[in-house]
Parts: sequence; structure tokens; C-alpha cells
Amino acid sequence: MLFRSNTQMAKAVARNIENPTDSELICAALAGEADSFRELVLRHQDYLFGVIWRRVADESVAKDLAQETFLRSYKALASFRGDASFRTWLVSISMNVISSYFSSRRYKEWVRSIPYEPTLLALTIPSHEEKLVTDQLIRQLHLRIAKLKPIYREAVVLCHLEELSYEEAALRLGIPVGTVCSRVNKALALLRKNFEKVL
Amino acid sequence: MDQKDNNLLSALSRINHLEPKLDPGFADLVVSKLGEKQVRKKKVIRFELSILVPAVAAVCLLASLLLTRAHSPMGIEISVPADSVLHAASREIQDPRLIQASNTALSIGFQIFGGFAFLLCGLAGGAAVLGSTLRITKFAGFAGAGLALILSAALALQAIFPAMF
Repeated sequence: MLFRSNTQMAKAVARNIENPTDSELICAALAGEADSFRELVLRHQDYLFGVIWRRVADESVAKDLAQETFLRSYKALASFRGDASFRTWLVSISMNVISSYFSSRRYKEWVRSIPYEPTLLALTIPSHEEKLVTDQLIRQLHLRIAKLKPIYREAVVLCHLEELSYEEAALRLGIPVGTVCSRVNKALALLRKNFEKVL
Repeated sequence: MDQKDNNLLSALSRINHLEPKLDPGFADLVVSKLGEKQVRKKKVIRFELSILVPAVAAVCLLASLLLTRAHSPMGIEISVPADSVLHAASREIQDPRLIQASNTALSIGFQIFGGFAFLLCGLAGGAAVLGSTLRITKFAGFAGAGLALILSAALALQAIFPAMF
């Protein structure tokens, strides 16, 4: 819950100074304490970075977008009502940031910079270990996921990378379970098509 | 499910193991940027272009139409070649030299204003392309820019080589 006044917040922080909750830190950050916001960032940065990295498949881009997400959240901190957890709120902001990235010129240039996959993959996989799934191949697979259309990318990320059940993914996306199944199957078919020479 | 599917699912499940770690100073970096004001100058410029350029283009088009209407017996008719204007005007004004001079001035004025207007329409289309991420707007922007460039090129050619039209 959020506090109605700084006094109320200060009392709560004094009570719980060792391990303040997210709400207490938010109130302190709203009161102008940068260290409180820093603590919030420290708490959630790894989780948020993971969420973003799984979708964009690029470390430096994921760092930039995570930073952008935290900056946006700081600007909108006063509008955080506390209906959901701070982490959930952060993730919803990050989805908007990711969406902006996927429609940006930076993403399109990145997509163009990826070479045609089968040749590259065939070269990276040793011929005598056809079934070996190397780190290089997995990175390439991750890049292919980032190149998928948004609806397929989100379905496969939720169900296979974040390991949600189809029902949970359907709830998250606000679509029927059957639609999630078909999107995941389509995404897997597209990925398999890219990798059929080596998998 | 065949072996290929198994390999694919196995590879998918291993993506998370490759997740990189954030730098220890990430939080400090974020906090250091809290006070910075983000300047979005590019977008503002694009937005202004997308308003200003079509407005100037519209004024130029209107000027070229008024010019045509004021001096030509043909009224508003954008695609009239110089020879036709001369032919139509000669029916009402009998002095060929006056007709020639009037027609030349009219033709050049119309072509300059019209060409400029179409060129600006092309720029407006380009600005719409730059400023928008919607596919339909981009398509319309490209189509508009292409059409405007063709029209302005045609007007320029007409001004340089009147005999061709």
C-alpha cells in the first residue's frame, strides 16, 4: 500500500528500516530520496533485464531498454497506485518500451544485419556432431525468435522461455488458450524451418 | 514429435542459461540519469515538417491555380499544355504577340508554382514516412512522394522543352 503523507511514510520507514518494502521505497523516492530509487532498481534490475533480454536477444539493447524502463517508471512513480506489485508495473512499462524498440529503425537495421541463417548455421555446427546443440546454435535460435512477428514471439517467449503454461500465457495475453497453442505451434514451425538443416 | 522437434525444444529450454549478467554499476547509472532531461528534438522537427510543408504546398498550389484562373481563359485546368493555352487564348485575343507573351508568363508562373508545390508535396510525403511507424501511412507517404516527384519532373520538363508536350 502507498502512504498518504510523508510523515506516515517516514514512520513506516523508521519501523522497517532494515528491510523496507517496495511501497516504502517508492514513497521515499517520491519524497526525493534517490537512494531509495536506487534500492528499487537493485531489487528488480536482474528480473527486468531477463524479461527484456529474452525478447530482444541482444545484451546491449536489453541494457538500454531496461534503463529506459526504469527512467520512465521514475517519471511516472506518482501514478503508481499499488493495485499490482511494483515488479508487475515495471514489466508492463517494459512491454511498451520493447514494443517501441521493435517498431524502431534500430531494430530494423539490426534485423538486416543478421546474415542468412542456414549457411551460417551450417558453418557453425561441426559436421561430425550433427545432433549437438551448441551455444552458438542456441544464440542463433534466440536471434530468430527476436525476428519473429510480435504475436508469435510473445507466445513462444512466454511458453518456452518463461515456462508459463498455455493457460497462464493466455491470461497474460488476454487471448483464448487455443490461440496461444496455434501461435506457439506456428512459431515453432517457423523456427524449425530456419534450422532444419542443422537440427 | 520427431527428433528435430526434440532438438528445437531442447535448444529453447537452454536459451535462459545464456542470459548475460548486468554490470554491478547499472543501478548507479540509472540513478545518475534521473535528473537528465530527454530531448526529443528529432520528433518535434518531423512533426513540424509534417504540418508546415503540406501547408506551404497547399498555398503554392492555390497560387498556381489563381494565377491560371486570373490570366487564362481556360479557367482552372492544371494539365493544359502551353500550346493548348495559346490556342484557346488566341480565339479571344487577336494580338498574337500579346497572346504569346501572356501565355509564356502564365505557363512559366504556373509551372514554377505548380512544380514547387508538387515538390513540397513530395517532401510532405517523405516527412510522413519518417514521422510514422504505421505501415499504411508509410505506403501512402511513399505513393504521395512518388506521384508528386513525377508531376514536378513533368512540369519541369514542360518548362524546359515545351515542344515535347
